[in-house]
Amino acid sequence: MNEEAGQGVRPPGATPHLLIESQGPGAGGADAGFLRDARDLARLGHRVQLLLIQEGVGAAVGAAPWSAREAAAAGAEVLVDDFSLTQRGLCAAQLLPTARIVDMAEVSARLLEPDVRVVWH
Amino acid sequence: MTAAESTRALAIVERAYRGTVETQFSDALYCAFLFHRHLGGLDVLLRGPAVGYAARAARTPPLRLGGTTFSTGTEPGQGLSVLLESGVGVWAEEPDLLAYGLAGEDSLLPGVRSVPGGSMAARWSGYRAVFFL
Amino acid sequence: MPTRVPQTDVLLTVMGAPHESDLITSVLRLSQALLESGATVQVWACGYATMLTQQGLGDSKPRNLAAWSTAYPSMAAVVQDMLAAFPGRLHWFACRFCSDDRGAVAHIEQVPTRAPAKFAEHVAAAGKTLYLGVM
Repeated sequence: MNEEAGQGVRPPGATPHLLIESQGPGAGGADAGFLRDARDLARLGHRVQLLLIQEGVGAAVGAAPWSAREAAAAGAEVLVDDFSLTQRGLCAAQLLPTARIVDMAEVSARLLEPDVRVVWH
Repeated sequence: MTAAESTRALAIVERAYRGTVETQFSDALYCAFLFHRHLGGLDVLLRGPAVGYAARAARTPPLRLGGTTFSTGTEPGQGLSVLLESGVGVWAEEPDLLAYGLAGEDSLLPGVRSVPGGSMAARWSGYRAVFFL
Repeated sequence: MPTRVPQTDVLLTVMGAPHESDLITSVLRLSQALLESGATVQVWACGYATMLTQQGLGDSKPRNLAAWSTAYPSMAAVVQDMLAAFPGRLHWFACRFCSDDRGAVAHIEQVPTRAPAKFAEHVAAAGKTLYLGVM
């Protein structure tokens, strides 16, 4: 594990990632593997943005046991889809303190950046 | 009243948000409405992510798609209101309400009742049928 | 005439089924945002996503008994409207194998079918390819 990874020092070859989690724990047995991927990539020194959309927004709700906390602690930036939040009657106050609400315009701009690897789960 | 005497069925809804654009009004709650009308009465239990359907603050924002505003996306709150007005009993399990940020007072639509996790199983024998929707 | 493969900024490969989650809603929201930002987009539909552009869907959904006079557009109509709104910048293709495998055999005229062997050409023609949902 790169001790410096969480402190803004990127190793050579680090790739920016936009990881999009659309699944939640209630989705027929889906586990937290992708959230762990986000955590592990951040620990390896890659810049990780983890977008929670659809059922994935549950991972940003402070009270939920299935959580993006570890990814956030490892240095991943946790983003939450505004439409999915509104659909579920949730607001910013209910989210992890470091989570940031975004719209599709911001997501699409990030997606279009040539160096960013985008993975949808 | 025994299960044989009751004409009412219990529908358990767990999976949620299944096609805001393609499903629109014809979701599991609409199906519940038709079952309630045609099969002798229905109650609905919301579990897992489906508890979000009962969130008082929930709404489905209109979408800009192509050159038009798409405003007929699925509105689960409306679906539940139709059910409640039709006499369908609607419950939501408390552990899931907590997990999905809906445990606060006044979090739920009027008429939706919360129940402890697993407690509805004790009522199964009072229903003609129990199924997932 | 062979189908021309458009050069686009993004290729969205949609494999998940409609009506199972909000995947299709997210695909349309993302496509709209990309197009509004000036980007060009291809959608390649696989699996049951091939059902989205069937002629049999007509222009509107069946009647809502609880709202008899409300108009609900079909998915085919939604896709047609988006293609018309972004001519030359949004393209929608259906995998021929998946279409045949699922009986989705009559696509709207704006959606060509493509053999799976041609998928690589579409990937090569896109700046970035995403894979959304699973078969």
